[in-house]
Amino acid sequence: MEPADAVLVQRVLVLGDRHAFATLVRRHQSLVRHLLRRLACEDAARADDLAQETFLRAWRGLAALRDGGAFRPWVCRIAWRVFLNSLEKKHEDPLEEADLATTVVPGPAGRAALRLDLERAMVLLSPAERAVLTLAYGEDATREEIAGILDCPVPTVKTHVLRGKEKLRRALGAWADQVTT
Amino acid sequence: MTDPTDWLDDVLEATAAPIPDDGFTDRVVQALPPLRPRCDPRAPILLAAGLLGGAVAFLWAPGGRFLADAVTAVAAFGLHPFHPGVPMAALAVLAAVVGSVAYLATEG
Repeated sequence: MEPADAVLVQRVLVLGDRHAFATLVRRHQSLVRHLLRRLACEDAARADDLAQETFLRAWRGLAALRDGGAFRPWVCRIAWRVFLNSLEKKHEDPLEEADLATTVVPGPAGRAALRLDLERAMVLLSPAERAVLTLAYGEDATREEIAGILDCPVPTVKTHVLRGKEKLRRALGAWADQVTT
Repeated sequence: MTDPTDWLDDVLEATAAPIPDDGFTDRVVQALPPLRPRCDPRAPILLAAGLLGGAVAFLWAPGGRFLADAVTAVAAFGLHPFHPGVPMAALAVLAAVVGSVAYLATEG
């Protein structure tokens, strides 16, 4: 059984143990990269660059982490800030809903096609809505955790969930019957 | 946050597959710079405060009189090793230093 995050963080801080940090990265890379891929609109290369920058910042700033057990939300918060910083450097124009119109027609490919359409529909959401839905579904983060990561009140998280899902529902509406049957 | 009757919840849950590492961790570890030693400003502040506090307490307490006596004795070339001002000053400073070091050691 691998040691808990808090133990690994202490090893890094006290001993400068790179193997302990590697274990932390291996443990949380999927979450961080998934979040950043969603934020970077599935640009995997850009997302991985941002994820690497996230873990480098975590390495340099680990002494600021008071509770080693809270490494997961802490590193997600860094990822969010790294993404926001990258937006300042690279101005992005969000896609219009019309750009998606031809991609939401359900095809015979089933789940794979639905997954692809979902990722494309995510582009219609604001970065905060994308982040909230990514953390809330699959990663099982609580609303309080998400509020801490995005540095916003809990009611704002709830609003992002509702708005984000409403946009997805509109964009993927053609899939509703197929999924429910 | 999941509503069992909501098809979109199912879709969002189902599409959150874990991402395989594929060498990502190795790339991160290779790019790590040397870790800078912990820089905790509390340590020097506490040490300085301890030393200053010890000195001030010694001077304001009746013991300060020994310091004045010692200075007078030095000026008169009459200070001997057993003059009470010497051990009192040494004890006050030693207590402040030992206390500070002990506190820093427990803080880690």
